[in-house]
Amino acid sequence: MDVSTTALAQTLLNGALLGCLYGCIALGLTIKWGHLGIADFFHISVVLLAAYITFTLVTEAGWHPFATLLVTAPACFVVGVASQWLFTRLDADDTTSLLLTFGLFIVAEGVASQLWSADLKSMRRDLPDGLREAIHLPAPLDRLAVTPPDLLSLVLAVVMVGLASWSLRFTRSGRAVQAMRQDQPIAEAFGVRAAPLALAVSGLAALSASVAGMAVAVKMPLQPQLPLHWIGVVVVACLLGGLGRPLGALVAAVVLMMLQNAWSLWFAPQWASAVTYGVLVLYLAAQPLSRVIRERLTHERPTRERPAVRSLA
Amino acid sequence: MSLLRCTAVTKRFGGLKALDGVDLEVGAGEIVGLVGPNGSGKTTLLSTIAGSLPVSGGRIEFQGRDVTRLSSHRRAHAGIARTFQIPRPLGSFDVLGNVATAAMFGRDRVSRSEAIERAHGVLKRIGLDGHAGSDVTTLTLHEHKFLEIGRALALDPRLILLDEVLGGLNPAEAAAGMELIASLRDDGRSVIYIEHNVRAVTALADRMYVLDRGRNLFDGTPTEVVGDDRVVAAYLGGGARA
Repeated sequence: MDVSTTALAQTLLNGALLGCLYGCIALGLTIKWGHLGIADFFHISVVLLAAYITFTLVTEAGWHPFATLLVTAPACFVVGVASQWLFTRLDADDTTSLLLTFGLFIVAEGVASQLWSADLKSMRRDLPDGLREAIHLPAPLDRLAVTPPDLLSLVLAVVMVGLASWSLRFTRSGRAVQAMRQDQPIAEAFGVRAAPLALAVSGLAALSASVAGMAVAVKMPLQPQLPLHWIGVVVVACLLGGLGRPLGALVAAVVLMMLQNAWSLWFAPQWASAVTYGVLVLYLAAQPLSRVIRERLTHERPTRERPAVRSLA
Repeated sequence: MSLLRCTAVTKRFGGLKALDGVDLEVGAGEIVGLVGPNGSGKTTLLSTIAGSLPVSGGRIEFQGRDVTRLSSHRRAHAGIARTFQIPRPLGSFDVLGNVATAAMFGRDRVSRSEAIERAHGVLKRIGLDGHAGSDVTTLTLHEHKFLEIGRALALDPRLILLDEVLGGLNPAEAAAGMELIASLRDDGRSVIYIEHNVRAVTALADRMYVLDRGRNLFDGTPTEVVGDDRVVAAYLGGGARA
């Protein structure tokens, strides 16, 4: 099938912008997984629940989508703190926390079906005019267009991921989180207050779900099964991007969605999600080879400083 | 007044009593050696003092304050720092980052720039200033051990718990280590020092405690300790003096 350059460019652009939305969803998961050691699949459900609350407040109370964050952000923060408190109280190991969060993930779908029904819920008609009309890019790209919800995803992804990466890299708390991730007893021996820090990190990760939920509600119709569609891309983006690395997850999500969209131009769209897992399999298969190359380079130059090492100066 | 006082400290791991009513006192500016055969409870006692392990019974006072139930980070803020028998550097930070991170969260909550400044000072003192930007995996064993001391020093503690920091070092490196430990006393800091090398401990310590099977066996000056029959028997077996 012949595909015009414009169609390809538009498809890749749409994929990149959808990837930004997935990057927003993946942000909280990669932080909790990488820094707290909890693969919290329930985080993806929290995004959907936040989206439904946004939908309800916009369609029934006439709130502006941004204003709904006044409700969803504190609510998600509390959910994040409570879940971390629960994991700490249970002294949950990797398997226990995985089972728990996956159980909550399934339960959340049922809860959403009960509260909002299994029907598609769209708030497109209730959105302000500025969020509904497509915007053409300036010349010479004026044949390409983006929608305001896509731009919103882009802005939110850049702001949230930028803020998270900067905080982890340059603030005292970020430093403490990194130390805690590497060796909690050592971090505590340094004076890092690990328990309250873990609660705060979990709360902030969940808070990001409220923002992602708002972006989801603005962009697409809601249905309780959405997390099942998201989970593949989100989890693979976290793994490919490096656990605990918000920017890595965002970049991976953008690349994956561009690949998926491009695939749909030439091949059957129902196989598009297989592209994501295919990339993960290729990545995992290449790991031993990359390790061998890395070790060779390290062996040949034993005193060379690794670029991955973080310097404070 | 004692800087640290442990009274009847007990630690059980299930049915095993690793510490059984241990008493220990450390004065300000004093180096106290803690010796005993393998499995006598030295490291366990250090961990209970640092707050890494909760005690099963007894009381720990630091600067006249009961710290028995305080978490390890609160004890670090109070002025207790420790090293680990097997060095545990934070692998994704460079050498400076390891020390600066300790400085940032220690007794004085210093800013990032102050922490870096303090870390540079500490690295100079422990002789690792040339490795500030190095990956910790490139350090030799003695540099790893000194980095452990440096990280503890960066907390600006009043009491430093050293767990076999000279183990595995050659004589020249061990001598440099002993000099460094002695200089901690000159700072006015107190030290509890665990070492298998009794000669090194006796050379540095003002007083020594000997543990055996989780209990106090003897305490006194280094001269008294090495001359005591019970200590010799604990180390070498019952018939050593016969």
